[in-house]
Amino acid sequence: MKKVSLLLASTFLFILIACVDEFDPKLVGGTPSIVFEGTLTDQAGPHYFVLSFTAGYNSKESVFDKYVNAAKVWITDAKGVRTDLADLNRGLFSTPDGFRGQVGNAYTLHVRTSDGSEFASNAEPMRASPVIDKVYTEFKLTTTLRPQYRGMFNVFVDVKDPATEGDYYRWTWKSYQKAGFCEIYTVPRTDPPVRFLRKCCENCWNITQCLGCVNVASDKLVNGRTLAKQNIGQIPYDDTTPFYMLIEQMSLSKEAYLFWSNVKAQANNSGGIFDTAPSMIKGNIKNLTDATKLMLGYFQVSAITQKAVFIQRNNLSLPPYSIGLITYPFDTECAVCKESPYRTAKRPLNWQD
Amino acid sequence: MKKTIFGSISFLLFFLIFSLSTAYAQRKFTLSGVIRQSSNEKPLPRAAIYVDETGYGTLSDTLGRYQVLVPKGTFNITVSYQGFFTKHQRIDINNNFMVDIIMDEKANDLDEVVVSANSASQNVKRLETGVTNMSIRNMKKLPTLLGELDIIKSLFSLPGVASVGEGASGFNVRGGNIDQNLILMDNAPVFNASHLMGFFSVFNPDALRDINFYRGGIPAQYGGRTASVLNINLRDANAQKFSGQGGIGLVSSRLMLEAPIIKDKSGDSRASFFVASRFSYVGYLFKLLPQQNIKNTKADFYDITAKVEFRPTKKDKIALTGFTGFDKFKVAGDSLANLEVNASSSLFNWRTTNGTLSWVHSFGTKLTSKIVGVYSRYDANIINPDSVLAFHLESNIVYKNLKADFNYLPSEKQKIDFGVSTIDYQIQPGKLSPDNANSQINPLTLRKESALESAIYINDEYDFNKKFSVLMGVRYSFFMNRGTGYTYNYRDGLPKSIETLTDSTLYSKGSVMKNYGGIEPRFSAKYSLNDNASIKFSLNRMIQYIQLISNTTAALPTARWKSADNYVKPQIADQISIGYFQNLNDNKIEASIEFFYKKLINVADYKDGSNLLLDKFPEASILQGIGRAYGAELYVKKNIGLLTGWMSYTYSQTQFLVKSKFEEETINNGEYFSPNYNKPHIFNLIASYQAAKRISFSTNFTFSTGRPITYPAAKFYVGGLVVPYYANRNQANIPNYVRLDLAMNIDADPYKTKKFKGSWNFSVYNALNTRNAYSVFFRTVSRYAQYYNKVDIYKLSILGSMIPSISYNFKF
Repeated sequence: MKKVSLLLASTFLFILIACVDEFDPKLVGGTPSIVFEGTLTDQAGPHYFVLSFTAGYNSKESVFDKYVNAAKVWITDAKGVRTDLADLNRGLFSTPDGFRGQVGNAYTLHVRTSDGSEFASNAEPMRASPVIDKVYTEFKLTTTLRPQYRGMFNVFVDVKDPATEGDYYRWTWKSYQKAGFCEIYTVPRTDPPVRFLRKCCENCWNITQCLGCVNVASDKLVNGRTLAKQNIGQIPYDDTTPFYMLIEQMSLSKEAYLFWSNVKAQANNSGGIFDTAPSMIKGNIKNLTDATKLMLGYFQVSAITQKAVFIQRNNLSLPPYSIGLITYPFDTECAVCKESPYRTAKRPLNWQD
Repeated sequence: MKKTIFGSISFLLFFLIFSLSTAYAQRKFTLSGVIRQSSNEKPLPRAAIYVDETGYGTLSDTLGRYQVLVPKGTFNITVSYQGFFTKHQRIDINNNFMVDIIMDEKANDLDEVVVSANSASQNVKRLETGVTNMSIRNMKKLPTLLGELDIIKSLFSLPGVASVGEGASGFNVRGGNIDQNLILMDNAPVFNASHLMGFFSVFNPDALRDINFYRGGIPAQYGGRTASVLNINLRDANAQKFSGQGGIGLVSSRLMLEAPIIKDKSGDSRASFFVASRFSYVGYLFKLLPQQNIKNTKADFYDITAKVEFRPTKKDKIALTGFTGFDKFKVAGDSLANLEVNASSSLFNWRTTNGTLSWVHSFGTKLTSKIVGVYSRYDANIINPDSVLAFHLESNIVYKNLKADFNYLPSEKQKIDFGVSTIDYQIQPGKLSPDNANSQINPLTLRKESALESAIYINDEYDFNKKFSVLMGVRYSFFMNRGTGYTYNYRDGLPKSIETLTDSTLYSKGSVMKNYGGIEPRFSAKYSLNDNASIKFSLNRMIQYIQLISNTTAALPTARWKSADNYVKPQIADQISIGYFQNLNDNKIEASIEFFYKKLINVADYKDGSNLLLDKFPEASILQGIGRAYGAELYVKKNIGLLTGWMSYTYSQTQFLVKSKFEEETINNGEYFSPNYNKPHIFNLIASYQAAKRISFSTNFTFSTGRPITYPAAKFYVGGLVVPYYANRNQANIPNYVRLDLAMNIDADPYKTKKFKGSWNFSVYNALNTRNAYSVFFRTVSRYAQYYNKVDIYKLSILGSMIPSISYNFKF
């Protein structure tokens, strides 16, 4: 989005006439390539890895249609220790219980597909991740017409960069909110349908993940000093209650940093005059059997530093816009808090009621 | 070894001069004098004078002086100058004879809207191929974008010239990149010719006289760039009385004043000057716009061009030219993502500061010398005001040139140019400094590059007879990259990168780190089949030692200049072209077809995803390969009548090959690919119609193939995003480009003798309202990407609508 505003600005007067139209160059996909995604961290596992396929760049084909089945996936470390991953089907693989990465060690990913092709990543070192110094926000009023929220809080972090040159960072975050209910129960055979909300039987939190945010930084210009004011996300001003954020900082290798910077650039390419030409996003996994058949994606190895914060949203004179929610009466029965990427019964780090 | 080559070259040069110059001398008389304008007696430079009977002619020099050799007899001479009535005079010659010729100005160019500086028959008679001369006077009638007359935009109507898109800075000539054009304004190079990031060019139309644009047979005087030479001649500061001109437009206004400074006894001015300036008010226009984010955009530019000429004797002319052009442009957002700083806004500013001091001296009638000193400096800065990340990034290139050019005319059949030149370059590729005490930015200064480029050349133009003439030229250039500096060494057998760096070699101040040199032959020949048709041929080698390093679609004003060094080799272009030229219908129509083939050596491209800004090791990102460009250019021009104009069609192909034993140093799997500016078909039509004595209409129609683009081969899901995957480079083209512009001019009454003359230009840019694609891009729906397949593909049009404008020009 920022790129678009640059573009608009750089075309100055012509903003009145610069226009963007939908366009269909009728692109078709060729032979699909395998795509790897997953990060091995120093946190308690299990760590999940996904093997999927590419699809043609059009709106008909989906990247979720097919998964790699019956592949063997394992990890070796610098000492030659091999760890096999469990195949959970639908292209999902997980590390065994208790397996975690260690700072200073280096890990290599191996994949053997059912047709006998072998793939291996470069040895990725696990580098230490410094502590997150400070988390703070700046409020920005939304000025577009009919906004969903009155404004957004930009969240920034400051990190003290170690004296070594070539430190690279990636940040993600998750937000947890106490779940008000765990299920919407519809009474069978009712017309119009009669619905009840079912409270959770135990403490339960809804998880919001920052999907599709790629926030990376390098210490190229600030080595040894404070990596200041890194914008890691935006949270909505939809309530005056504190907003809980669990921020995760991952250390990256230079190649991993370049990979994610490239992903970010391609995802935000606005076709502007000063954009760099699109380039191939190169991963770190090679096909040992047939070098012309690539595996895309990156086997990332990171140490993680976490920081949990409550963002205060009650210090503004403007009230947030109220959001209309559909509510139903509560049922007498409760529902189990089912573990999923969107809900958990595990108490988040430093949670305060 | 080097010394011997140098020695033998200079021997060859002088041998050429003297052998050819004396061979054909005959007993002839000299007809000479000054060509002047009737209204103010100002001398007219580059006016054409022809002796009809012998077919020989010449152009007047910068003081309006001319000189032709004629045998005894009675002759008709024809004198023509654009915008003036052609004069015919009958003269008896039985001795050396002096005559001043007074020309009457046409208040409007009634019958010549766009004409080359020379007479129409020059299309056939001139020796070189691929040369165009255009006068500013006639460009003023063409349709404009927002009322700004732009000579770079006029170039796009010529065959063989292309651009990556509207609003992109620079132009591409016969398969060359934008940094391969030598743009000279009164001998001083212009490193960035754009205002407002590339929408307009820095040349103030009021300060210009004409341009010479060479894309084929480039004479040996010029060197250092491989694709073309755009020589911009400023007007002569030879005013006989105070006068001025200017214009008021939507984007900027201009004013030019000229006056004599010293007059001699006869009332002729001995010294005169002009000052021309132009300033924009785009910034104010932004403030009027309602959108908050646009209000904060700042953009402004100005330029000042000035020249003083002093003519102490009839044989000497000393001129001092100064030019400064400044731009600032503030944009919101992290435009500097590639600087690895997330800035909320950034301010770009860039400035060109040029100065030229020249002394022209005539040694009698046959030899003229010109000694020129040039200082040219280009500064580009990026400023980020955010407190903790506040910084100032400076870069600049300083060019100092000293040269001596000689022009020797041993007979009317021969013209010899020779000279020497030496250039000193000082390049500061990047200096980053924190802007305040809180800033966390570490200061960083890249090593300054220092280089010396010297050249010696000779051109010998000889007419064997009326049918056959040749131009033999040779240039020897020599380049030294000098200390202080380091040459980094990389591990053998591995691609160059910071990881394979082993050690470095330090060179002390002034020592030669690396040198290059080469002979650049320039050859042109013309054979006339008859009075109206000729065949021309030319062969060129051009060597370029400094180049612009940029991997964005259009180069940023802050893109870095890099001198050839141990790893980055000079670029070489060898071009061969052949053309057939024909005049039809009593010289009313000129037509030509030219074919060219160019071999490019050491063309630059970049490793995927490389970040070139503040790069200490640019050699690890630059890839060099070979290239080829070929094409055919068709050109038809109608010079005379109420309807005038031209039509050009170019078919061309440019391809690069970047191949290495390392995969990461190979582009497009080691196969040929097209660079961004390869547009196979380009068609242009420019026409002008004089509807009434004060009213004329003009039009410009353009069609071109869309530029190459890399479409994604596939999409894949990673990090919560659906990301395009690009495989082979530039395999497709964006949609074709079509544009029609219209203009109406209302001029001052040519028969009124009022001193103040005003004229109006009404233009409509893109009158067909076509939404031409500037680019096609791909957006990823980040929300719910995990549920939907939808991809969004968009076409961006920068000037996607009709743009009317009005401008007023005046003269007093």
